[in-house]
Amino acid sequence: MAESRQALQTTGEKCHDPYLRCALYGAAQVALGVRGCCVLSHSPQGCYQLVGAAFGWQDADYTETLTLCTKLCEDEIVHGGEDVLARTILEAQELNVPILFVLTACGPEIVGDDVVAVCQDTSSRVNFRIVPILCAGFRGDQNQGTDIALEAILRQLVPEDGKKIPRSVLLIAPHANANPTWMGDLAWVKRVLAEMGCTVAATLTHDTALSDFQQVPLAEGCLVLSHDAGQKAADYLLQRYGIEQWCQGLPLPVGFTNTRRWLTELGQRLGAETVAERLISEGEKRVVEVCRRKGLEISAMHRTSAAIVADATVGIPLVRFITEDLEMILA
Amino acid sequence: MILTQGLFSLGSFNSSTETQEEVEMIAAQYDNAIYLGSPLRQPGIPQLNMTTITGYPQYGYQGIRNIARLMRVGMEQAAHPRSRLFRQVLYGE
Repeated sequence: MAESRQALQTTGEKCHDPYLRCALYGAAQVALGVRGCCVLSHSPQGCYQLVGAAFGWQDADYTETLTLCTKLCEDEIVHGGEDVLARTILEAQELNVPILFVLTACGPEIVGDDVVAVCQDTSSRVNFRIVPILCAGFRGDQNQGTDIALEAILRQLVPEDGKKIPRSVLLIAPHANANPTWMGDLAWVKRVLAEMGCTVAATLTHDTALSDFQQVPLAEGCLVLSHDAGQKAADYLLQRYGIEQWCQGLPLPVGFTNTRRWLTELGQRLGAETVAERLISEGEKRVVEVCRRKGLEISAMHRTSAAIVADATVGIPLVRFITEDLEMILA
Repeated sequence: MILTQGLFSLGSFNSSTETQEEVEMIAAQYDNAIYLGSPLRQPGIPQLNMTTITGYPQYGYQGIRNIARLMRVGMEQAAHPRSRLFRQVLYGE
């Protein structure tokens, strides 16, 4: 019995979500959320396809956002790829980009390429900012890659403290989930915040202008829009700039009850309780009307058991949604 | 077994509301009643979902086992409040 329990614990510790990609992918998602940037993948071209996938996930525009790859082959993987990295950075000068994010894959980090030193050496010879992000796949999954990149960007691009903007907020990791309609959810969050009189100081990251990073220390609060990644960034912002995390510990607004809780807390934070109550009433009325028209399968759901297959961002709110709003039982 | 008047006037929102009111009224007269039927009713007492396909068949040996399971689940979940979403969709409250 003790052995089987130990085996279970060991398995749990080693259990990884098979749908998650590696840290390079998560870091590329964060970097490509910066509008008009250039992302250089210091990797073999196989790993580079992750950057392409992240490009699509962020809905980046290829006329303004560029991606490069050092396309490491046998020679560089055995003898190191610092030379090819330096050459690629210098050649990027022709692209007239404002900033270059250098992402590392497993190979160059294992072989010992000093990517940070190469970036420092070449920075005086180019007219753009270089931000190295050490995000080799062996450092973790894509969610850890998101945290690594957010930390690197916050440490390297955000200035010292400034005067706070009243009723302003940072939106963290809106892209860090498996929901293909995450951009619609982000637009909804921005809309309800605007209705409550709140200013979004910066989104970390989606369609984020480089100048938005100057606003980061000025925000009063932050909202982590993922249960999978972004918490480390929120902790860092609290420690470094005293930016308080709002709606911490609450499930994200998925479903009737979760959305009511989330908007109510925001309304209290922003002194906009009346607006929050109106948003809740209007939203619930719309949901009820749609459910009546489309037919809600109450008989199929009431007290029947269900299993959830989802990432944490959707899965955690779904637990409450299906048990409280749909009256189901978790299997 | 109590057959309510609303049970026989099918097909309208009003009849559904009428049945709900009748079931609520009947349930209020007993301390330990259990409602077996559709989850569209919300009498505020332990309730078995007799209409879920996961409870079929409801006859024979397997049916007895299914009803027993539904009853156990209904009793275990009796303290859980009914959904506000469901109630608003069904009865507009």
